[in-house]
Amino acid sequence: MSSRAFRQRVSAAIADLPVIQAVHEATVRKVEQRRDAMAELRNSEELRSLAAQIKQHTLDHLADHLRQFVAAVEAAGGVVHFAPSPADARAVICDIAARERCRLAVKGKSMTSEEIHLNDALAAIGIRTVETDLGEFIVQLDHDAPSHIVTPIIHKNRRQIAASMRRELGCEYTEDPTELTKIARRYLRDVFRRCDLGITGVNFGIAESGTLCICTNEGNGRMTTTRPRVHVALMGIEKLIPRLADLPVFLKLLARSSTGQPLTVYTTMITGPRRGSDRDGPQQLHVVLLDAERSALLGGPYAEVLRCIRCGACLNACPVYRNIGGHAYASVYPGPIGSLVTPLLHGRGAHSDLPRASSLCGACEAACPVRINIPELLIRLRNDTGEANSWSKRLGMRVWRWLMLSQNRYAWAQRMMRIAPAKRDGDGWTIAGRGPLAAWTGSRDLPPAPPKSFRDLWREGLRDE
Amino acid sequence: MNSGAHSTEFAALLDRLSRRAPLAPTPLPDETAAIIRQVDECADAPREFEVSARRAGVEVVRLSSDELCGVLVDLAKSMLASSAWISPNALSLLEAGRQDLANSLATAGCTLGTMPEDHARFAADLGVTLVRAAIVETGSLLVEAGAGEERGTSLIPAVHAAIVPASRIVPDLVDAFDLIASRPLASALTLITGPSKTADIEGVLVTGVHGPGRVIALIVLDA
Ligand code: SF4
Repeated sequence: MSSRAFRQRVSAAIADLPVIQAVHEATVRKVEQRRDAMAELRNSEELRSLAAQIKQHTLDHLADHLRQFVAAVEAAGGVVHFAPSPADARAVICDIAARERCRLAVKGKSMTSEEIHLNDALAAIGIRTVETDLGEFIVQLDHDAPSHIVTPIIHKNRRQIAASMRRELGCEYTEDPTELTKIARRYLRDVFRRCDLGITGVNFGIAESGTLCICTNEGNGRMTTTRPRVHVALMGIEKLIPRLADLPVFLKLLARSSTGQPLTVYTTMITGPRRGSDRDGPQQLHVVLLDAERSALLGGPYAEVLRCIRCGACLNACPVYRNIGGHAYASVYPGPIGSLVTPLLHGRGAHSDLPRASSLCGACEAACPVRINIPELLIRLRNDTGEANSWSKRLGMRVWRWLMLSQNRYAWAQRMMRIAPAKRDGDGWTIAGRGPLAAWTGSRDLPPAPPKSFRDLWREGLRDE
Repeated sequence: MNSGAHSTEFAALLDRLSRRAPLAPTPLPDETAAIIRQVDECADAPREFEVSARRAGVEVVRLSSDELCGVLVDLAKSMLASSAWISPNALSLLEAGRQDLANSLATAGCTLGTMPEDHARFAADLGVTLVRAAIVETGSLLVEAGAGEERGTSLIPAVHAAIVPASRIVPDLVDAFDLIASRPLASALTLITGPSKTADIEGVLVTGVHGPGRVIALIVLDA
């Protein structure tokens, strides 16, 4: 993605006022809900540190935990596959689906499956895949893309949704969210009755027991792991935690960070396929472990991004995300964590501008349940990947430094600011500077200089007040 | 392509990871329960569970075991249920026999299934299960698939009534996980915390998306 393309998308996003307003309201609400829910905990700070430590431990010993996990899944009757790349993951899943003669697949929300573009691959071999999370279902009706990792249609309003439902499902037009949900429920019930393949992501894989933990609010994750004959769970290799006893640490943080709930409505723990005494549940369980560049990050300076539990708190907290929405990032993972993960996993060149889409205010790190130091990593990534700064920016910075190092030069520069020719808006803000200043004002506005400086006021009598 | 976990690719990954392991790896903390725990013990567990369950959107009824049958029939009547799906485990707790319950439900125009065929699963209006545990901290119900309990009973019908013996109420999530670890894991365990819900459309809360829109905890005080 070139720098220009990114800028154009951002400009387009900012111009779409209703969307930006919707995103803004929703994220502000979520930040408040998160804050209240975390305050309910006796010791949220300690709990976050513990979560960070457990995840980091798992990553530091990932080979051992993977070995243990594979053995445990197999002991429970599951089959484990390894996919070095997204293409391999697609091939593995298509293979399973074809071999088991599946026709109709249901999918729980899974960012990892978005990452590998699974639906198209399944369609190519004649398998229809239906998204079952309400938000993802609507995204699919619209041939759109999710714009938030937890609430995929944060960018749509009810009128747009009503229009898509009528267009695609032929139902009565209604803007009532309850009615719209009922229509989707009825439609998807029929799909759940007939489906034969279920595809889910995994929130946590338990190394010691081979258990897959899947958290949903709607119940689609449960339907997807109850109804079809075959269940395929797709997970990144970083999704493991060591022990069942570690799970409560993450459960207590995940939903709180995500939506301000103490727990998601359904926390499902799957260990192997259906057993002899079970009357329902899939006959086969396949776990697909996806690497896709994750292992290359381990042992390096960016390893801690793999602690991420995809709660979305950093998106909600981010002033940049709130003002440009998710689509402007043009990547599966938007927001602060996306600005790290996308270039790191999908090639730095193509997404080299994303690490710059941050004001480095630190709100993301303060919200992160596993204490990923996002701002520091963003700076590091900027230095690692950025094309060298342009000569004009470098010159500008030098001049800035020279001005700031002397009291007299600083005072002179202040006077110049007031009279310098520049394009200003109605309120006196500089919206386009000249010369070296242009590099700065290209994406920022400068506030008007006050008519008198503090030094002037001080000299004129402020000192005596 | 050999994609299995025993493929050479996977072995190569493990090898690469081992070689890249950091020199000073982060240790795994051992005694974590004290940090994780939010609720210590409960003077009146049923009462405290009732409060948190209600907060999670669960309806609560407190009763004694000899009232259970009558309460279920009343519930079926009040919601005009035409078919109830009661798990064998839940049935075992009822003092009335299967036939008695079936007869009483029949007077309310409701049929009874314990191990229904697939079409009947989707026709059931009311699902009744026996929980493995209930958690004061979050108001959650722990249901377990296996002998006598299906995954679908607490999921497919529009209303889920969960029988909660008072003796199975535990203070904290940590206690529930101790219970889970105390015997071999079932193929599916689910913590249910309130009715199925979404806020995907403009943040408006809607219940009953794919799972039950009503969850009722029947706390049996003497069980
Ligand atoms: S980086 Fe942290 S806050 Fe952001 S999604 Fe991941 S876990 Fe949540």
